[in-house]
Amino acid sequence: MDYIVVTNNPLVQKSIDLSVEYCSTLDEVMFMTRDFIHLGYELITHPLSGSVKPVQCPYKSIVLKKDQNNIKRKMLDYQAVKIIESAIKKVEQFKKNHIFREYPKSVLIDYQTIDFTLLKSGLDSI
Amino acid sequence: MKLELGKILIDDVKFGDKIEVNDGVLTVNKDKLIEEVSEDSRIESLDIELAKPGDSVRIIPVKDVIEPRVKVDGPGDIFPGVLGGEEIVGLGRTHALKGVGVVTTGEIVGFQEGIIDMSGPGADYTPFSSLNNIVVTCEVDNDLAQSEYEEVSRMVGFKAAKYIGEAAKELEPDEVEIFEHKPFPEAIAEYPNLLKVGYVYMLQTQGLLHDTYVYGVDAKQILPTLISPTEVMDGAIVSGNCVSACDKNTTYVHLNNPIIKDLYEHHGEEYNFMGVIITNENVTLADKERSSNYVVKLAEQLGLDAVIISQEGFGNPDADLIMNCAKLEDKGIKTVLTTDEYAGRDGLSQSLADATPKADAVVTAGNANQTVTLPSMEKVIGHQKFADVIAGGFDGSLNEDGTITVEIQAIIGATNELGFGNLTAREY
Repeated sequence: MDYIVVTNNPLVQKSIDLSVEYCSTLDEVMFMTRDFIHLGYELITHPLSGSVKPVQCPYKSIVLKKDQNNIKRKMLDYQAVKIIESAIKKVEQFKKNHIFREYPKSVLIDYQTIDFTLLKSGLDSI
Repeated sequence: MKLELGKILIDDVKFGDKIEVNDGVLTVNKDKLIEEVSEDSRIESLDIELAKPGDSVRIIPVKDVIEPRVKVDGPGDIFPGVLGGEEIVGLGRTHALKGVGVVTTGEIVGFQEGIIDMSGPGADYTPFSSLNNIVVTCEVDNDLAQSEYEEVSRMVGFKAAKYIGEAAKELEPDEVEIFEHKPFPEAIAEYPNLLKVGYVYMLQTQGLLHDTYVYGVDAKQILPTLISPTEVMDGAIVSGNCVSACDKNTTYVHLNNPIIKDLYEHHGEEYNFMGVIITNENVTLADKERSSNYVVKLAEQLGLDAVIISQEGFGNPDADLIMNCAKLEDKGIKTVLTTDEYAGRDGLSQSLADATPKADAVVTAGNANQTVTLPSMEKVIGHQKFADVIAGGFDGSLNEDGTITVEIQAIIGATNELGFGNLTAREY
């Protein structure tokens, strides 16, 4: 499989049978995804969740595909660049309003589960 | 397809010996209702309470709100494919208990959201504070997966609404509205000189707590398709959403979709309302491309001149909204978008996560980041502790005196993208 998952979600790291780039923060997930897109990887899933807000939900998993032809030809998908840059801006905006807090473990597990199920819903359709 | 929608106006709800409606008062036998909806063995406890307009009551976290309806005449049953069989609905006669909401609440996830205040400033932000609410609190075993809890709670709500709706079956409605959706050749021939207008109805479909069902089918698995507006009024579309309280479409909102209502209002005078295209909001970009392409194909097949597109939720659905808009505009089909904004608490940030210059007619339902302080209530139904972790809540949201400071995104229906909210804009 040429798919990779960029994630900071420990549940995804231990549950997914795909190549995983594990990040320590949401920012790192976003910037690593952007860098992969610039390297010619194809953005498969949207970097924002459906309605669980970024930052408030500390986890995000994004699927990319390694396309050797694009990588060799250094083809850049401008639409994907626009999507990830807009998502990064939204994350920055939500950070401004967010006061860091330690979530109870059960809440963290729920957030991990939601991120995992949204990822899975994407993986099921590819 | 012709549907008569009979409205029975309800001013008050109370508990009593049997379920009945007398002079605008709905009486419900609490024990019998609990018995009717508790058959699922996964339910550990279930309680029912009433919350009326003006009461000092906060309901939190709300999962869904549902209007009790019943099929009186015509094929199928209310909530087809979910509770009823597989018959196509949307014709014949349906009765609705107006002024009543079945509200479901339960601790499905630890950050679940959705506030309904029945009085005070919070009540102004939610359309559901004006209903006589029958609140079903459903608890399951702690070990049950969140997805199962969601399903249990979802079904309990539909069963309760259906059971209560049956009380309206033999009643003479206070008002009857008639809605008709004609076969397309007939509809086009009827008003040949009017613009053909359609409605692109986007449904939240990304996964657990983000799902919508059409005739019981998980809408993330459908290609966009046509649906009669009258089918929507009979419960063909139901909510499986638990997140994004301010801009999710509860089942109540689907049943009473205000865009459909308004499109009917001027149909035959200002335009020819041709019908509804439902589409999804999936996770992958390929799905988004496919679905938006298919929306355009259907709109062209119908020969539409213009469409209204409504969004549900925030974030990646912004991409679906913009794809639908740009691709329709490219084909010469004019679009008007209805959405809401996450523009920051100061309202100065970019409102959506995607944009196009082609989106030149956009209606906003409000800025979900706007904050409000809600006073304490004498009674809380559900779990007030969620105030700190819900979307739009923040550390210290729940103050010692019981007040809550939150963004309005925590309030059910505050910025509903179909316009089913109370916010408006006025020029001074």
